[in-house]
Amino acid sequence: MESSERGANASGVSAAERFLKDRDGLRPIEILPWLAAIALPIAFPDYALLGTHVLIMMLFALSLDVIVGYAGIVTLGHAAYFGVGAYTAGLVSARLGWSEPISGLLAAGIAAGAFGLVTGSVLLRYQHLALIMLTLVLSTMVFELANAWAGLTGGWDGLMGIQLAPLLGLFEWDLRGLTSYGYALTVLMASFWWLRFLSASPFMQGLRGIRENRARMRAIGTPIIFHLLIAFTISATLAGIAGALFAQANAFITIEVLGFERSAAVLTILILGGVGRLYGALAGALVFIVAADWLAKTNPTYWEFGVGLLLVLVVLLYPNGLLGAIERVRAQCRRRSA
Amino acid sequence: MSAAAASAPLLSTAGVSISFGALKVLQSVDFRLDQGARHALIGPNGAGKTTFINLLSGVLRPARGIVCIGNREVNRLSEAQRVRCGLVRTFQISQLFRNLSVFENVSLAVMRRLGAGMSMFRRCSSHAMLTHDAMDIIGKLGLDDVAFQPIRELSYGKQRLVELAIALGLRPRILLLDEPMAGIPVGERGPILDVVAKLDPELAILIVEHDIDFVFQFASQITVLANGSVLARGTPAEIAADATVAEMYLGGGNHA
Repeated sequence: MESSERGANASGVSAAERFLKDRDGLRPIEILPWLAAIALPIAFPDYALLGTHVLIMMLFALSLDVIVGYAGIVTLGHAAYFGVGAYTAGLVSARLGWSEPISGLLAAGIAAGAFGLVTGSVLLRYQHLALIMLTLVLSTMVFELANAWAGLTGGWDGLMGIQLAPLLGLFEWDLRGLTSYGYALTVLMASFWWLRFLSASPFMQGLRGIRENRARMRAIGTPIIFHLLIAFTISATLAGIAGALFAQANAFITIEVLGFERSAAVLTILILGGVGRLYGALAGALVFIVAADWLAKTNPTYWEFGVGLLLVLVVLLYPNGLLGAIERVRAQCRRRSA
Repeated sequence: MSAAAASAPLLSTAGVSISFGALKVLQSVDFRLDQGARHALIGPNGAGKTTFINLLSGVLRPARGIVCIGNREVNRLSEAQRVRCGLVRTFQISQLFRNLSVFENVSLAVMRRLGAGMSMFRRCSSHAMLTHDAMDIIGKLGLDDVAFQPIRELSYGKQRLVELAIALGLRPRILLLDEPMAGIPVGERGPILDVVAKLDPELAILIVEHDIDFVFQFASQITVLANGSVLARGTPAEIAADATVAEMYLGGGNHA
């Protein structure tokens, strides 16, 4: 019996290998955004502060893509994990006097990941509207807790006294934000390439399966909640690291980091860029933050209207976001040349 | 395997009952499925056939009675745990990953069988057996030409084949087929019939099917379910000679 099962035809196997390479393989063009990101502060050092903000929101949006894009779980409370990371990094410096930034960042990732593990083990038992409402309620509770505990968190007045030692003992935190930019870019790149590698793994493909058909994933033997919980913990950890970068780069945070607006903004960014593609999170954050910055400068009163209009246009014209639009154009080009 | 395993059925139930509210869907059903069995479950609509499949596969738990895989009582085991015992099912209404390709659909099952469903440290392409095993099944089911197309672009008949391919990707010991030909016009059933006929003779198969001609040709054992109870069981010849079954199928109206 075994010998007859060896009969899988070689052309089928090599076609499958080509398919996997096409789906998961690296393309030369993928180096471009990173070269651009490295070139930006060299060419335009004045944009380092805005650039840092973009990089942080890219990481936050990436964290959300793991659960929204791959696993198909929509949350309106992801700022809770961003905020837990931000406050962990802020408090170890401001209250405990621990000023080494990288260990503060790791502590923030661990705290947010642990919080994700605990909350996820309850949240992930629910689906659809119930889950969306629970994430909203949970993040509101965390927000109110931080507000009530203003003695510790600083509340709306903000957490004062975040002090950081030079990065790696070498780089001072300069006012132009070049150190912050390099720091954020390094963390983003490490996180992105890890996710990029992970996206080709059976684990992430299993998340796509859960998104597509939960009943069938269960019927082929998947422990759904456990699988989702690992993804949720990864997502919360990365969100917490993004929050920590935010706290460290600004050396100041208020409870705004935990607010609903931030949860909504990151979901908007991901939808704008395109879900389930990783690069959508990068493109969405770039366009959203830059557009918001430009609109806020040109029309300080009604800039949010402009952001809203942008989102409506993109979603109407390109339901799969900016990356979906690019993929469509590429597919058309390929068809025309074929 | 203990000495008792020789006589123990691969899958069995004893006195299982389940109700949805006041409706008694299954009443004290005894059932056994041995290695290599070709067992058909027939009966009119609403007899409880799909409920019985759900009960065997772990979607539902019986209110009374026990379900066993081998000698082991599995009442408390989840669907996923029963799959790990070798019990795999297909669905009457296709449950596929519609935006993924045929290859990816089968791969998800093969990855689970290889114990790599949660693997995070290697790419799919570096799991050597994955492409081989998935393409092997795809080839055997004649799906090569659509292997890399998303399910939503496939004809209904091909989708029913993928439904089967996912189950085979798990290399089950016990296979529960819930109306594998549901919705396919009689003239286009050839490919599915071929696949079902060629399944490993060691595999224990329980098939729910309305096509009586097929059932009598395929099955060596038949259980007839009506109103949630076993009306008759036996070989095709015995069932064909059974007066109550004949009355239900021939005298009873819609299944004539």
